[in-house]
Amino acid sequence: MADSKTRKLPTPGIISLAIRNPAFLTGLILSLFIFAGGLVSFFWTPYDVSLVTISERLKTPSFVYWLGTDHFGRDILSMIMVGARNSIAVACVAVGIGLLIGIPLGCWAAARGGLIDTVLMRGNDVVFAFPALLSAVMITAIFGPGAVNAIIAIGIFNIPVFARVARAGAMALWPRDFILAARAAGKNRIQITLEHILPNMAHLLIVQGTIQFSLGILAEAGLSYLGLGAQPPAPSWGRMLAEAQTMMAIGPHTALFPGLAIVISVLGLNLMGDGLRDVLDPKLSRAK
Amino acid sequence: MCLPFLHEEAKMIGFIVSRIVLAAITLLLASLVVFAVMNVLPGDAARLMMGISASEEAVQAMRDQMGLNAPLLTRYFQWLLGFISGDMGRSYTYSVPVSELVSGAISVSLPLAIMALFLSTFIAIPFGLYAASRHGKTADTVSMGIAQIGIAIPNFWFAILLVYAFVLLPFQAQAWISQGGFWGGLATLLSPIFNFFQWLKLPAGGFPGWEGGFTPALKALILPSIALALPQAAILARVTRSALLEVLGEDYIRTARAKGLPRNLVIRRHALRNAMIPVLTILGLQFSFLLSGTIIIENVFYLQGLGRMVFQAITQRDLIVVQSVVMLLVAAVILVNLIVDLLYVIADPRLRRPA
Repeated sequence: MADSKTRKLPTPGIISLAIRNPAFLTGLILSLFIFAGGLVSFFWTPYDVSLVTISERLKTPSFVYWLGTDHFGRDILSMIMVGARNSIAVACVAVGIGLLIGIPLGCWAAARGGLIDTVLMRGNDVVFAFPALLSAVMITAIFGPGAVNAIIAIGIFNIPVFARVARAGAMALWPRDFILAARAAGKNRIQITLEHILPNMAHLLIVQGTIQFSLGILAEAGLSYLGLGAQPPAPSWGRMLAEAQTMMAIGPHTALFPGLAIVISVLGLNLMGDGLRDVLDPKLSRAK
Repeated sequence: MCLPFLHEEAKMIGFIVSRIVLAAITLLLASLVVFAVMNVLPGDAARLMMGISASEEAVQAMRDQMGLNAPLLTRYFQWLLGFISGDMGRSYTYSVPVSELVSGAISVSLPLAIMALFLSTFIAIPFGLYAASRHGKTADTVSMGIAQIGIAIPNFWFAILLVYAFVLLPFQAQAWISQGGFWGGLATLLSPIFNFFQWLKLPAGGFPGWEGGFTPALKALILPSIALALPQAAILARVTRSALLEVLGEDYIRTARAKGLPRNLVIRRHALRNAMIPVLTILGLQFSFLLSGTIIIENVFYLQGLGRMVFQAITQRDLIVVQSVVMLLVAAVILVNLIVDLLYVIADPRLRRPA
């Protein structure tokens, strides 16, 4: 009975609605700006990022070097563009890990309840008790620094976040009438979860996804600032800042632009998340 | 469910006891995780310390010295009991008791965390209050835009910029003034600010220790605590605003307004107190982020606090230090959240009724 009609998300108008939301639009433009920079860097950068030209070191921004050069004479714009790839990839896969493991766990806990729910939620509490960066530092130190281990370290902490959101969302849906109808129609819990629960809480997960994505970029920057992220010579925003810190007295511009790149991408993603939440969850935005 | 003769207070005590038991269980599980990660995952701790080229006998001797030959469970309980009684073992790299290192580090990290917490609260609550009172107006949008930017700024970058502005820039400005031109003119215009920064003499890093006097130690923590407080303040300001707006939509606020009370008085006397409940929760949850922040910020400013200590211990493979400090930090997070939970119950009588 209550079949495909119940999974009606307001999908058709959503894109046009979102675009009209000023926060979402601003966020989208900022994020696309960074994303495009990373994408373009695959086939073109103003200079070769591994090109060390000592005679050109610490040049201030000019028409030759748009954002100046670092202490090795490398072009900062090129490094930021290539660094964007690293940041986006790490954050993206880390969110993917959280989604793929966290959502099934959360749905499972909500569908079964009882002991499984208790065990999973206690487990979540334990993970939440660990300051995320501390554990990430531990993981990268044990398994060695590098982009892959940074992804795992950040991804592990996305699992309980998505599990919690998915569980809360699913718990709110299970007592609803249309779920009851689906159960009466003889569907099992897995079918109901796949066909009704997931589509109806997709908006919660998408919004959380953008938030975790931006947190992932911040975490990656922090790890590579500490020297535990992508290893040289691969450029990363965090390590650029760590190197710039020692050059502040003679080349303050080297610390300015990588930081701005982080701010723009995190700000963009957060604004997108806020805008999406307003559009996808009108109840919530009306209450505010 | 709830029995009719059960007293309100008895219910509250029941809730408090259940919270404490839950926190204790989480603490115990966390200690198991910490121990397991440190003792099972990285393989042979002795081998890790001695390096790959060490002979088997040397590694074996190291294992004996580290007590690694005892059964895992025995070692776990030894460590746990020692930890509770304050005996955290000896650091391999520094050959001093871990508790000694830890107490030194706490004298840096605790004041830093407290300063950051106070700073963020004192910035965020008026900020959120202001935005909520101008809801829907330009001032609200601008305030929340600033808060969004505050959340997006990585604290270590902010720290680097702070050091530049407070320590390096005033010196560079003097050179610009003597050169004249546009930048010289600008620097002259801003020279009162630069002179003030120079007069402050905030150090760019390092910590002189409390025994060298209160003022220099406090000065060393000012820039780090500002850097640490910024993202916290931005998040808190947003929470304060939305909590206030939610409360302002309630009936009793309308009643208070209908009585003829001015809006600002209603906000201060009725709304703010109720809005503080979610703010308190977020403050507790953020404690964990604050500790994460100290790892980076203490590294930026070369402060020998818990965060920098655990980071160095990890890179030096001083596993016993890592194990104890991580456990300490995790215990702090669990304890703070327990306190917040309990405060929440005291502050919000609705919670005392069982769900």
